[in-house]
Amino acid sequence: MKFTNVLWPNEPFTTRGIITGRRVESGQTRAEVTVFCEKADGTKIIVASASALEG
Amino acid sequence: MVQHYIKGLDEPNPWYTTDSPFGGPVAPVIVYQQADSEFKGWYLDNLFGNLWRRQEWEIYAPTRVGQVLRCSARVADRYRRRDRDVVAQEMWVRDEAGHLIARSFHHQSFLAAQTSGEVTLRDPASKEGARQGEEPSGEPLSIELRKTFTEAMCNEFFYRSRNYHNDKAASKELGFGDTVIGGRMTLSCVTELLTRYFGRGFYLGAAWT
Repeated sequence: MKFTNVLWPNEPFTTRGIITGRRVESGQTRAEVTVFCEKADGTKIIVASASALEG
Repeated sequence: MVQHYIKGLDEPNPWYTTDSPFGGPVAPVIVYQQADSEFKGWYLDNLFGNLWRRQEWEIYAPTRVGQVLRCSARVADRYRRRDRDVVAQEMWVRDEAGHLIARSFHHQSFLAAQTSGEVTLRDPASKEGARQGEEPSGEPLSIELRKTFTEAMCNEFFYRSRNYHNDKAASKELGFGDTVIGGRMTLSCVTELLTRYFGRGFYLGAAWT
């Protein structure tokens, strides 16, 4: 998880994600997700690669 | 801790206060994240302009509200990045029986030479991967979080002390023009989004880098 830009008070931002892949792990599905926190002008403040079990 | 987290982020997830798939309330997944700053001696002397750079987490088990945890840590790395020295701290979070709940790496950056004046932040447009147009292909998550953090929310979230995340004077002393929204707050938006999307699976074997 990279902190790529500073966020100041009262700046609106959105946290969203994109599923980039899935794989089976011990009978369960693990999803890979790229997550962004970004300001209204598109400036990213966090970029993260995450994974977790679905279901 | 849980109440300050809920109010600071405006995230009233009922799992944190009433019931969860684990039976009874469960804490936000990394509610203990501030423990890394409670270890003394790993920050460099020059705090002017210091910022979070990177974090990595592995989650192995949920934390119950009221549960006692034990944290241990070490300095795992130190390296140079442009005009900053970076220190990486590794932390382990365990339950009372010694079972691993979580493991983290926190990379804190410190200006190598500048000790006064105003911190110069790089133009976001010049940063690799910092703007749209470099996103991976895939399926967008069905949910997203929209937030605007106010000073009142920062005060609530960082209730333990006054610092450059909730005090303009403290922020100016470190070279910033305004209070800096704490990385713990934006990081928590990532974990809240993923908690909502994955549910219990996020507490039982998640990782992010």
